[in-house]
Amino acid sequence: MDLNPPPSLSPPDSEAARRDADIVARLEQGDGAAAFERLVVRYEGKVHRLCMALLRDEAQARDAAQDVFLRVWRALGTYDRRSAAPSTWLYAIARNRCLSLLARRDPDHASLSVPEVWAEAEALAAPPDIVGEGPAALLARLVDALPVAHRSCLTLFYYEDRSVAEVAQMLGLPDGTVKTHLHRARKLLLAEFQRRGLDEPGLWL
Amino acid sequence: MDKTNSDSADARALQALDSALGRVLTPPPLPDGFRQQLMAAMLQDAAAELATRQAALEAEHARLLAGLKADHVRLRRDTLAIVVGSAFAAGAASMLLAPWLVEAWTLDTVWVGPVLASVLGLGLAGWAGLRRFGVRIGS
Repeated sequence: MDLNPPPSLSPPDSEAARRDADIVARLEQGDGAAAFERLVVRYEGKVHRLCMALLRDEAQARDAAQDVFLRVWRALGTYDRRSAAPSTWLYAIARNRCLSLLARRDPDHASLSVPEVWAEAEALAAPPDIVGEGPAALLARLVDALPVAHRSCLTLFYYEDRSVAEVAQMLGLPDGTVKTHLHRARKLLLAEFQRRGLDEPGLWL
Repeated sequence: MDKTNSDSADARALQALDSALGRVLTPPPLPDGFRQQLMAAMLQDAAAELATRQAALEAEHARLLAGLKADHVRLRRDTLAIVVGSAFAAGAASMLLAPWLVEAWTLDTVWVGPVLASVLGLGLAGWAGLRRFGVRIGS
């Protein structure tokens, strides 16, 4: 998955545009402070969760989320409502910020195309054998070992109350791509459980 | 029959996995004081931007002041040059014209030179001054 696709635009009648209509109205009235306040109140949690899903580091995610809002505040004057809903724009800034941080941390994860991700998934090294570890910890570690694209989709899917549309908007991907990543991630997890002889759900759930 | 059992087992496994993932992947809470920290960062950013703008304005002010000072020095130098040049030109012209005026108009020799020099000097200085302020005479 390329986590840095061309900016996905929200049509004026999209769900995001409808949800952000009040913010756009404030911006059109020239009340940037009120618009920004609403943006923070409504999206601080989501931006933080997006940063957590992508960065997997609490301190870095907190700093990145703050930096995202700071950048949004600085660039609020240049926001063009015709190009995307405020939340779409906000998520794009958040993704780019996280990708910059990831690129600094691990250049291989900065931008991966779908085939590369699948190849990475196929070649997924067996996670360290976990003996005597609880099922929840084992599952967490297996999720952690998933390729970045699958892991990001899967993590955000559960963070966002199993909403594919929300995950798609946050990651700037089509719904279908998110569903594909979710399907493949689950498949990989089940295969890994089976490989460990834990294919009976009752054993690990 | 086997396929049905297999499908059912897969569905059960997926459902169980979904429940387990739902328990493991709980949304992380927003860090304490996130908004306060954001506001503090914004204030800090605004202060930094203000300082940058202030420094830019101060640099612009210093540049304008230096320009004004340079203009002032040039003005004083030009004025001095006009005064000296006008006086010299007036003196030279009166030296040339005085004998002719005395002879043609039978004027007093003592007064002709100084008066002619003063009139010519003031005329030249006035003309130069008006040109300085953008007034063109005879155009």
